[in-house]
Amino acid sequence: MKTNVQTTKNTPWNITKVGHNTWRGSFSSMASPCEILINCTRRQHAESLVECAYREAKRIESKFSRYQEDNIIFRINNSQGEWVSLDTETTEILKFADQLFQVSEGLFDISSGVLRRIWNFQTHSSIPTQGMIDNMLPLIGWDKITFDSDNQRILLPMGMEIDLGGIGKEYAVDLTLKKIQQMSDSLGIAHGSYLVNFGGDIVCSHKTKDKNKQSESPWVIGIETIDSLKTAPAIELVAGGLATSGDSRRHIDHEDKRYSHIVNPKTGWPIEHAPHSVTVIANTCLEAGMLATLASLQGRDCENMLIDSNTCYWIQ
Amino acid sequence: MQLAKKKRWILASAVGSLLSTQSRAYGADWQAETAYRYYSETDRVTAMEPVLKLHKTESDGSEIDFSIAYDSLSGASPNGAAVSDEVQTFTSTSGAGAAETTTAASGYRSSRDDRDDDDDDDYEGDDEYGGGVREYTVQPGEIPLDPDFSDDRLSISLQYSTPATRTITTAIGGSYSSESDYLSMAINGGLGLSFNRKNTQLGLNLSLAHDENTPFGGVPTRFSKMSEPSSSGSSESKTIVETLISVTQILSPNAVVQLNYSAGMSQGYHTDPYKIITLLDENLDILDYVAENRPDQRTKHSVFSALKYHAFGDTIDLSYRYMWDDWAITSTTVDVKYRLNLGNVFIQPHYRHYHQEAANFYVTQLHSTDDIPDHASADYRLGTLTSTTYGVKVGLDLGKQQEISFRVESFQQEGESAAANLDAVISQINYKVAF
Amino acid sequence: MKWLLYVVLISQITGCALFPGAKPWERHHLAKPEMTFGGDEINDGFDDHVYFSKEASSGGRGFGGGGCGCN
Repeated sequence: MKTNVQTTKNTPWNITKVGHNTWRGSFSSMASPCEILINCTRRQHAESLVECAYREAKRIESKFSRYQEDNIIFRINNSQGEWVSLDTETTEILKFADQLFQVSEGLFDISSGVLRRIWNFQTHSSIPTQGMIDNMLPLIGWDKITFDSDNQRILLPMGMEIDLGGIGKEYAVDLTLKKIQQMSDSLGIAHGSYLVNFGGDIVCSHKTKDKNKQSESPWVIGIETIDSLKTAPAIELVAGGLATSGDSRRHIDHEDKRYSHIVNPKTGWPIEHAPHSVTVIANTCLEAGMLATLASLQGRDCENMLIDSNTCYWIQ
Repeated sequence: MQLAKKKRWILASAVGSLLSTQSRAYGADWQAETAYRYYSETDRVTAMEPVLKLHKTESDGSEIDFSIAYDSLSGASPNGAAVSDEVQTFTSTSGAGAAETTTAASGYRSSRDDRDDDDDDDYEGDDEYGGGVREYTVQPGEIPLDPDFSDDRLSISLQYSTPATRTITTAIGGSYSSESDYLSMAINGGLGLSFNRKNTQLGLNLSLAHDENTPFGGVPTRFSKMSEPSSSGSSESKTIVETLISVTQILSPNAVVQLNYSAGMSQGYHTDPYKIITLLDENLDILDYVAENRPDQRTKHSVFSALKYHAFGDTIDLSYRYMWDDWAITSTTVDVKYRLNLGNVFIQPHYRHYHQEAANFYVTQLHSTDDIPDHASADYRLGTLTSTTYGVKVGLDLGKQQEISFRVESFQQEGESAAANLDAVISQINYKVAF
Repeated sequence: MKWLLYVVLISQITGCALFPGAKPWERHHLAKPEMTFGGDEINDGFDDHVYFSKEASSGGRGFGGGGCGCN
C-alpha cells in the first residue's frame, strides 16, 4: 500500500512538503537553524537543491568558523607573527572586511573579537573595569594587521585574532542561494523560486515569470518582535536580502544602564543608545547585514544613517 | 547626508564584487567540446570537419582556450568561366608548367581523389600524381565546375585572457592554419574594460595575420591565357591588419546588447589563383580563358549589433551586420535565433539572410575588343549575391554538466551568375562536457 | 518603541533603474552561455568559416572566418 510517508533517508537535513509545489528543507549550521524554501514541482529536484545548500553551508562553516582547529582562521590566529598564505576566497573576504573597516571609519573591525573575553553578553554578568579594557585595546585594530591582497597573504601581530563571525553567515546565505540557482539551472528547473534563511539572515530569488501566471507571488517573511503584544508584521519580499543586527537577548543591564552587545573597537565599551535590533532589506543578505551592523555602530545616529542611505529598514 | 549614500554605494559594490568573484572561483575548471560537421552542396563540394575545443578557467579568473580543427573538402567548384552553348574544355589556368603541352587542371591541388562525382562534368585526364596532365570538359548549358577540387586543412588556435585589475582584462592569442597550398598565421591582442559596475564593457582588439598562398602549378600571371599559360612565381602573400572596437551593455537582468565596429586592411595577393574568366571575341564566341586579377589592397569596415534577450525562460538572439569596402562591396546580414527551453531539452530555430552588392571589378566575361581592365574577377562570390539559411538546433542536457546537440541547416545562394545558385545542407553534432 | 516599516518590493522591472544594468546577483540568466556573446564559439566558428568561403564579407562579431585559402 502506498502512503504518503516521510522518507527516512539518513540525511543530515530534513525535507517536508509545506504547500503546493513548495518544499522546506532544514538543517543546522553556523549555530543556527537553517531553512531552505523551494518552489518547484518535483520532490527529487527539491532534495538535490537542499543537499546542495547543505553542502555549501557546511563548506563555509568549516572553512571560516573560529571554533575549528584545522581551518584558515585557526592558522591565521595561531601564526605567531609569521606570514600566512591565503586562498582566493579568503583573500576576497578579507578585502571586503578591509573595505568595511574603511567605510565605518574603524568601527567595523574583524580583530575586535578578543573583547569577548571580557564582555560576556550571554550570562548577563558584570561589566569589566577600565583597566581590563585598557589591557585589551593594544590587541585590537585591523590597521595593525598587514594584509597583502596582491600576494594573498596576511601578517598578524602576536596575540591578535580575527573573527569573520560578523560577515560569515550573511555571506553563506547569499552564496548558498547562488549555488542553488546554479544547481537549479543545471537541473533545468524552469520556474524555480528559492528562499534561504540561516537564523534570520535571509535572501530569496524572484520567480521567473510563469507563462501561465499573471503575476508573481512574493515570499512573506514574518519579523520576530520583542514586544509580544504587538503582532509580528509580515514583509513581502519578491527578491533580495534581509538581515537583522542585534538581539534582544544579548545585552547587559547594569546599574540602570543597558549595555548593548555591540562594542566599539576603538574604546572597548559598548556603543551607547544603539537600538535593540535593526532589520534592513537590501539587494543581498550580505548588503542588508552590513548596513544593519554599520547602522547599529552609529548608536544614536543609527536611524539617521539608515534614512540617509536610502534603505528599507525597521528598528526595534 | 551625501556621506551615507556614498558609503552605501561603496558597500553595495564591495558586496557585489565579493559575491561575483566567488561564483566564478567555484565553477567547473575544464570544459571540452567536440563537434563534427558535415557540409554538402548539391552536385558540388562536400566537407567534413571535426573540431575539439578545450576551455579552462583558473581561480584567478584567467581563461585559456585551445581549439584544433581538421577540415577535409572535396568535390566540384565553379572555376569562374561563363556558361556557354558550346562544349568547353579546360586545362590549367594556374600557369605552372608553361613549357608543358598539357598542364594540370585548375584546382587540382592533390590528386588523391580520382573519383568523378559530378554528373555535369566529364572528366578526362590521366591520373599521374602531382603535376599530372589533365583536362576536363563541360557540356553546353552547364555551369563550368572544376570536378576535382580537394583540400585538407588543419587549424589550431590558442587564446589566453587574464584580469589585470578588477575592471581590466587583457587577452592574447594566436592561430595557425595549414593547407597543402595555403598557410596562415595570425596573432591578436585585446583589452577589455568594465565600467558602470561591470554593466558596460569596452573591448579593444587588434589582429595581425599573414597568409602565404602557394598554388599548385605556380601563381598565374595576371590575365594570362589558358592557351598560353605563364606563371609569375611560386608563391604570393598578403598581410591583414584588423581592429575591432566592441561595446557590450547589460540592459537588465534579462537583456544584453553588443555594438561592434571593425576596420580591416589587407595588402598583398587577393586573387584566387584557380579562378578564370571567359574571354569572348567580337562574335561573342569563346576565344580563351584568362586568369583573374584582383586589387592588391582591400579596406573593409563593418558595423555589427546584437541583442540577446531572455524572456519566458527562452532566449532570443538577434544580430545585424553592415559591411562596406573599397571594392564597392556592401553587405547586410540579419541573423535570428530563438532558443526554446523545455526543461532538459532546447530547440533553437535559426534564420539568416545575407545580401551583398557586387565588387566594382566583378565581370561575367571579358571581351577581346575591349581594353583589358586593371582588375577583374568572375568569381560569383564577388557578384551580387543573396544567401538564406534556415535551420534548427536541438540540444539535450544529459546532466552531470554534459550536453549533446544536433543541428541541421539548409543554406541557399542566389546571384547574377548561374554559378551562384547553390544549395547546401549542413549537419552537425556537438558534445560538451565540463569536468 | 518606534515602528517603521517600509513597503518592500524590489522590482525586477528594468524601467525602475536609473542606469541600465543588472546587479551582480541578478545575473544568473546573463551568465548562461546562450546569453553570452561568444558563448557558442564552435557554432560561430563553423558558420564564420562557411560564410567566409561563400560570401565576400567576414568578421563583424569578431575576427572570425579568415585564415584559409577558400576565398
